[in-house]
Amino acid sequence: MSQPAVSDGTNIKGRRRRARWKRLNFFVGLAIVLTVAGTAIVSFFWTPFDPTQIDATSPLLGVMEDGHILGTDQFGRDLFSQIMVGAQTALFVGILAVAIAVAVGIPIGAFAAAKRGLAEDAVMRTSDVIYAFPPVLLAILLVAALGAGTGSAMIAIGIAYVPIIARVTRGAALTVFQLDFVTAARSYGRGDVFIAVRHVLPNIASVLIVQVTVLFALAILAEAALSFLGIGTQPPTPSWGRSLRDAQTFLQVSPRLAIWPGLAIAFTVLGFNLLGDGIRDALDPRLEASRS
Amino acid sequence: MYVLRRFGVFAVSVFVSSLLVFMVMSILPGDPAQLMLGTQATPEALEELRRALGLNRPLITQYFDWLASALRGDFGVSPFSGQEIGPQIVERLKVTIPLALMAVSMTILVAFPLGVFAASRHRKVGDAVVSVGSQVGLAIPAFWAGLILVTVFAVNLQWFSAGGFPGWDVSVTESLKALFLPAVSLAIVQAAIITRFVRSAVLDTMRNDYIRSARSKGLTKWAALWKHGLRNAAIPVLTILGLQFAALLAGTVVIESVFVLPGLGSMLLQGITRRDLPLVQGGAFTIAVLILAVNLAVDLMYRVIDPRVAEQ
Amino acid sequence: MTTPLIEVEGLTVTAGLNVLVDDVAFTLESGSRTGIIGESGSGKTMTALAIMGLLPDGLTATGSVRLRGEELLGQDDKELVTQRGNSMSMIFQEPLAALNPVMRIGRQIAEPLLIHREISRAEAFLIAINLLESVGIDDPERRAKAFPHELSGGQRQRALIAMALANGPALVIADEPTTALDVTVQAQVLGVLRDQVVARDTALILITHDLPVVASVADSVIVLRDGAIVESGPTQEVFQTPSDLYTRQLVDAVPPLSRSVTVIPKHVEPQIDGEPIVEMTDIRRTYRLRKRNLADPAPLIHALDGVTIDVLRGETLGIVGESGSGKTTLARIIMGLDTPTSGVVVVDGIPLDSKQNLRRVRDVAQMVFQDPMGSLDPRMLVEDVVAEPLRSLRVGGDHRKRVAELLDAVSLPSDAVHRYPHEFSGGQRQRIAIARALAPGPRLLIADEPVSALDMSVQTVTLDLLDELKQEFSLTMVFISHDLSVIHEISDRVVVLEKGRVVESGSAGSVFSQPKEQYTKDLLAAIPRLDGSFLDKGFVA
Repeated sequence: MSQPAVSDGTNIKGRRRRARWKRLNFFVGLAIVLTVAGTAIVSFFWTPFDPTQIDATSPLLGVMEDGHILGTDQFGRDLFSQIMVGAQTALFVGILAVAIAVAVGIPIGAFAAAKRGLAEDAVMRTSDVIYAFPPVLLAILLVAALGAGTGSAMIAIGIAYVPIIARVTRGAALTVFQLDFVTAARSYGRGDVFIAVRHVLPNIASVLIVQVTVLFALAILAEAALSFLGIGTQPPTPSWGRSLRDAQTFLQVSPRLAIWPGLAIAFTVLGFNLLGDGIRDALDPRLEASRS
Repeated sequence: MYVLRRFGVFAVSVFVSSLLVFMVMSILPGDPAQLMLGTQATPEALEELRRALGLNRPLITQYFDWLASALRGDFGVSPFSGQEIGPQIVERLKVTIPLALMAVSMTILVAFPLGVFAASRHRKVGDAVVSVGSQVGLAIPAFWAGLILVTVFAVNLQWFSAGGFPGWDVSVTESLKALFLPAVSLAIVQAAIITRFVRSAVLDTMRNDYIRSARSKGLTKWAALWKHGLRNAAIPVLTILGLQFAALLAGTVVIESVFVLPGLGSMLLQGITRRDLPLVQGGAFTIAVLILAVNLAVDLMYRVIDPRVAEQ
Repeated sequence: MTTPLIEVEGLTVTAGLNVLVDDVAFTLESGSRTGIIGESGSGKTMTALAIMGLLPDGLTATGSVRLRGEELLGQDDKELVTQRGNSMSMIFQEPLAALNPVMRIGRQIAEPLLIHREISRAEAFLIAINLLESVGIDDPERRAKAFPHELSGGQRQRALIAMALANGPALVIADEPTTALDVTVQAQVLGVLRDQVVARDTALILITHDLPVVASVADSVIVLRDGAIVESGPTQEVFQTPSDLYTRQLVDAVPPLSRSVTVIPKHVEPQIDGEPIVEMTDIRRTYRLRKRNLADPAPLIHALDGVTIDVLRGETLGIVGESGSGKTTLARIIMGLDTPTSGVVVVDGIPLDSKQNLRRVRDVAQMVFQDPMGSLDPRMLVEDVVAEPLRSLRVGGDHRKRVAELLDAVSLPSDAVHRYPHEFSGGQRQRIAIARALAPGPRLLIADEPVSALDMSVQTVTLDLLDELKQEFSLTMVFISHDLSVIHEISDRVVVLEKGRVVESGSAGSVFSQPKEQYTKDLLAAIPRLDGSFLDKGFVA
């Protein structure tokens, strides 16, 4: 980033300040995501208490009471341990849902961009209609059909996000497919598949990475919503959404119970969103020229 | 021609979505009768229910029968409650549509001024504050916002009731009041999304050559934005508003459950937990048609805003 | 002594540590016409924007800009708006982008009137219609009610001129006003611009990279390089006896055809052995557009409408045409990238009628594209870019060595292989693209506007390189361009296309010196000449 392009029309000082601000997005996001991931990993081996251990003698303890960092719920289960293990569920669902969406959506989108005409129309019309459905609603319907549970929530969320990935892929790929280097590749005999994989995908990777990061956040929100409605993760597996569902019943008695799991969700989602923004800014095509 | 084609697309989309709703519920693994009666059901009872639901006919026949009556507003009878589903949906829409409209209005009222403000303070403190605020708003799950709002305004301050819906016939003001907190919960995320979008749409618009040429005619930067920029910026914003309306309808499913509102969303959820197949199909299809109708309206609005649309 | 209209002193525009305009000074009298010329990055646009007070955020201007003695630099937006659109106005390069897409033309032209004068909307609209008429727009009442996308490029640029002239400003700055236009339209628009500023005694600053354009409109010229003035003076004096080396280079880079109508070509009649490498017979290519309404059939676009062309072995065939002439479609059809609706194409004895044969054509023909940014995959190292065709077409041998030879042939340093395309200048990127096209050893090179995106001086060098390579690799070349001067420079034979039809063809010498068809004559007459002769010839209707 030594020499800004002359035509860019911004001064260096502002540029540096903005670059720093953008990097701040990225690093704060990364720090949050790593914290959540770290918590999830640690919780496999150690939590302060057994998160599912019911202890009738100490229900609804306050913060830092009796060694319970965030207190206990109505059954005397340690809140902090539950939230730690909840990170596992959130990330697990996020990873698999996004993996499903990416594995199905990218080929569909790339195909639709490469093959103009009827095939494209068919694929995109269908995906347009599915796209009109909000993913959460679609996931709710799919879960209804598949039966409640973490697994079906994951699959449902993944399928619901396929059209999003497909559309983003197609949109970005269409632009690249129209560039002359693709025509050049055709003119020296490369086929659609080679062009899609070797020329188009690397050039839309940054767009997709950003989209995937954002979808991760959306998947975590969706899982929380499904579990909150009681059709996602089932007890005793701890889940942030599930904890909020339980907290709702005790809102009058102990509103505190509703705070921590919600904060955990918001914190994680914020992390992924910031990371997505940070990656996008880092890959901003206007800054591309100064990267080498 | 554009209008005609757009209505055509609408009709096709309604058809595809009906197919989708029907297929998701019918073809995916699991026998609806079994799901409804549970694992303990006797084979005779299952057979009985299947016949009652018409499940032993070919799927195609089932689908077209269902579609034909659905288009007339007849979604059959709930096997669970024995009630007609159609009238029930109408009743529920009287809660959900006002709720959604209220949330959309709040979203627009907050997001447009904030987005334009942030764009006008580009790279200054005001912009940064709005950016951080919208980033946080984006991360808050609507149902959690609902819980917090209930805790603060219903449990502690007791300004609102924690949930329930008196009904429009009982009291219009009380009904509106009952929808207020749910609408706020829905609007928080939406406002965050739309604010960010308005901001970047305005910034993009300001980079256009015609803004520069408007300024060269003697308009100040902000007069140029006002007279030339906003209408152009409105085009992408309208798209996203349409899409977000769909997200908002999905949000009602969750929010109606938080606030115990008798809307379409809570009906759908009830249908799902009780395995009430016709109820879920009816509810989902209604929501789909609503969403498609909003998209249609948005596309037709383009024509008013953007003269280029008719040419495409 | 009267105060000059514009006095610029020590004008410096900086972006942080970067100096974009460096201590520029000049004086303009009212009614004068001045050209500011320079290649990309010379700071010519920034100078104009600094005068208008429209520099992008983050750029700062220092020095002095006085309009009739009044200092403009340092005035804020609110003060400057009383001048902008009133005593000075600006015309921008890309007319479609410079017009608000959702506002009717008439209202946009009326806008400066409404801003600066106390008149009613109806009055302003009437004046707008008069203005449209004065810039030569037919049926101005109807056009005034149109949206920008409903007008042609030339009409839009005329509308922008009308807008700039609305309040009878003392100064109009036109930034590359005709660069995006076809040559015949350019001639008309330049004529209108010149006639209107003369008639209104308005001073004009014309900013362009194109010397002949300046020569046809401006009476004095300022040459900018890297933000600083290298030379200035009366236009013909500067162009005929440039005192600065850089100006001389710019003048030398002007192709012969653009120098004067009287100087006619260097061309020696080519020796062509007569055997065709490409035979195209009665090629048609139609595209179907979407229906506008139910009753009418879907409109058809005839991109190519019965074209018969032979390309002879060893020649350079120039194909020239304005936008919409079908020249790019033609290139794509020879390459087998597009299939004609009807007609027969035979390339090197291979009829392009099956997928298999299309593949065989790749061994014979390769292509160079217009935009050197878009034609190279930004994520690939130069080595891979050039080696790609070798791998794809399974050319044997040591690829690395071959790439090194090719880069050497196009005069790029050997360390270029380990760099990415964006690290090179436009001209260098075009060389990489040429090396890639030559890699599989084609016998036929299709060059589609290969120099149009390059600066004038780079154009000349690139054309020379193409000519050399053609000899070295014994190529046949099809050279496609909208620019007659470039075609004239490089071609042995010329085909003139108009709206998908061949208007005229023949040896370069005959087509350029004795054009038979009126269309060709019009094209030639429309070329701005360095001696300023074209507008005086009364081309403008």
